[in-house]
Amino acid sequence: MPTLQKIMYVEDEPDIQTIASIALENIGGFSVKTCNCGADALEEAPEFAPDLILLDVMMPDMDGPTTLLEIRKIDSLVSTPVVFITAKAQLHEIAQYKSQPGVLDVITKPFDPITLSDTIRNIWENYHANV
Amino acid sequence: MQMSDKEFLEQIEELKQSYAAHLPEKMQQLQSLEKSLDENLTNFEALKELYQLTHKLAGSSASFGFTELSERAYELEMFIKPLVKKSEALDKNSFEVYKTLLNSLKKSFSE
Repeated sequence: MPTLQKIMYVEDEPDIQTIASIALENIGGFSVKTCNCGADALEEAPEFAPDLILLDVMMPDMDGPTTLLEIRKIDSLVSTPVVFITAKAQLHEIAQYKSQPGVLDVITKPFDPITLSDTIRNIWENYHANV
Repeated sequence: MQMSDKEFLEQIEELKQSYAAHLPEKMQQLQSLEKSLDENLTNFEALKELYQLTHKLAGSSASFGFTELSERAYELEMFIKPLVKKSEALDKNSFEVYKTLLNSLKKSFSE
C-alpha cells in the first residue's frame, strides 16, 4: 500500500482549514498544505505533489467537482486520490461524483477534528485493500 | 512539526475559544439579515446571504463543540436551500416556518 504522508486540503473556510490542518498534522502526523480555493490548488498541487487531496464541494468561484476536473488535466495529478468534503445538506448532490475514478469517499461536515485523521486513514486503507 | 498531546489539546481549546469569540459577530449578521427580510420579505439577496451563513455555521460550528448551533443552522439551511436553488423569495406561507427556525437558531447561540 502506498504511504499516506502529504495531504492537500482545499477549503474556503479559514476556521475549518485551521482546525483540520492542526488535527491532521498532530494526530495523523501528515504534512498538510491548505488552499483557499480551487485556483490556488491548481497552482500549488503540482509542486506539493500530494498523496491525497481533500476537496470541499461548495466553494465560491470554482466548486469542488469543477476543481477536480481541472486537477485531472494536470499530468502529475491525473490519478491522485481525492476525498470530497461536503456539508450534509449537499450529500445527495455529490453522489454522482463519488463514482469518478480516484474519488475514494466523501466526508461530511461538520466533522470531529479529533477523529478526522483516523477517518482518512481508514478510507485510504479500505481503498487500497480493494484495488 | 508535531506538538505534544498536551500542547495539541491546548491549541484545539484555543481554536474553540477563538471561534466562540467570533460568534457574536455571526449573531449580528444573522440579526441584520433578519431585519432586511422583515422589512422586505422578497429581498432575495438577503435570503441568499442567510443561506450562505447557515451553511457555514452548520458545517463548522460542531467541529468547535457547538453541536446545538450546528443542528439548528442545518435546519434553517435545509429550509432555505430549495428556495435559493429555485430563485424564490420567502412568501407569507414560508415566513412562519422561517421565523420559527430562525428563532431556534438564535437561541442556540447561547447554549
